[in-house]
Amino acid sequence: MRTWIRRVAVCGALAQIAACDAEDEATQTPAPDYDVFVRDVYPIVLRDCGMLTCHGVPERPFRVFGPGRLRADDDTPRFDPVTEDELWFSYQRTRSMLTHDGDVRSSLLLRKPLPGGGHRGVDAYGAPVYESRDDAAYRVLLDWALEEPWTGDSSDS
Amino acid sequence: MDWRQLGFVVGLGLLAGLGFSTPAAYPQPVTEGGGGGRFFTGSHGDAFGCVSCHPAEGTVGLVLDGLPEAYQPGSTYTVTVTWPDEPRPVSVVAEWVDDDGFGVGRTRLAPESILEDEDRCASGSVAPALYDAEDERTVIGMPACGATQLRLQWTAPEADVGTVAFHLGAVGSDDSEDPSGDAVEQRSVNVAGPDAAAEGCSTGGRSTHLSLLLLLLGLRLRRNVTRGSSSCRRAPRGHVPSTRGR
Repeated sequence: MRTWIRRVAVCGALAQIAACDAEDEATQTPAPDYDVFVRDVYPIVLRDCGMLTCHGVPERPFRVFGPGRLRADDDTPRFDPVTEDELWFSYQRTRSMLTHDGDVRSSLLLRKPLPGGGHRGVDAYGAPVYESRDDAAYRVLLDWALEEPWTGDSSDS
Repeated sequence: MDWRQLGFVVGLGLLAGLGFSTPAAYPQPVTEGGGGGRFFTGSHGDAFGCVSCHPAEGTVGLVLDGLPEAYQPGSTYTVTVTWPDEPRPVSVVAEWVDDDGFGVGRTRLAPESILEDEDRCASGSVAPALYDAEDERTVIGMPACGATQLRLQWTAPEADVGTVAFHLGAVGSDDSEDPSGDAVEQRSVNVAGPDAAAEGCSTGGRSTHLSLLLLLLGLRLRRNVTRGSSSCRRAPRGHVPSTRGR
């Protein structure tokens, strides 16, 4: 009986390792340009995502740090300019939300703020953060993630 | 500049220094701690409300007055928003938008000649200001300054643009200089277009006059009038916009 349990446990562990390996092979986490993030993307994710009860709380995997919002260091005065550490942390957190399994447009960062994305950032009318891929702010995120201007149709998913 | 004006400027400066305790920070760049153009009115033009940053701990106790059920094109309405003066100083942002989230009509501050003590800050100054936002929106903002009333005037568009909405967000600060512990209230009121007003219960208008004429004709012909002549009937349902189609 003991041997049987041990065999099942070993098989389970091996299966789990195999599954993890398969997932690692399938998923990718891009590393888009950091300077573009600092210049163009950071102000958008700070404004549209980093509110203090949304992605500006320490409990969220995706969080954005900055003035007037969550500070990386509790000792930093709330409205002091953004620090280099905060920019880097915000970049890494934003980048992690671009993890995808073949199409970066299916990543959480690019999917959740759109209609039907299952996001809580909706108003009383149920509208999402961005109405479509045509939204100027969304296009900045998309172009940064793709590392080139996106030329697709707004209805193209 | 007299002492009163100087006090007003200094007061606004101090409030701006507190960042989000004043709507004046919202147009400022987000990298400087501003709202980056978001005003958190809760409208579908802004997409966010006060609770995006302030975990609501109690409500402010707003009372709205002067909002019509349906607007008449080109008419001006004076809207009054009041709140209790205790226990917290209250800041307010508000705007009018159409079904697509675009600004609609013309929003103005109430003329100083009609202001009352309740409209004024503790210092006696008049604090509300207008801010331009994207999508042709105009936001009115009142910092937490001790006033207990905000009045604004809204002129409806010259044409029927369908249902519009008045959105308002208010935060009652606990003076902790952080978003926790504040009272929050968000209100959205739909105002129907003039077509709805014509179809609602009214004592005037073409349909009423036509009904009366038919009734008189009917009496003259000594025929029994079995149906009522009033145009009064329930307004049709379905004035709440379902989605925005921007």
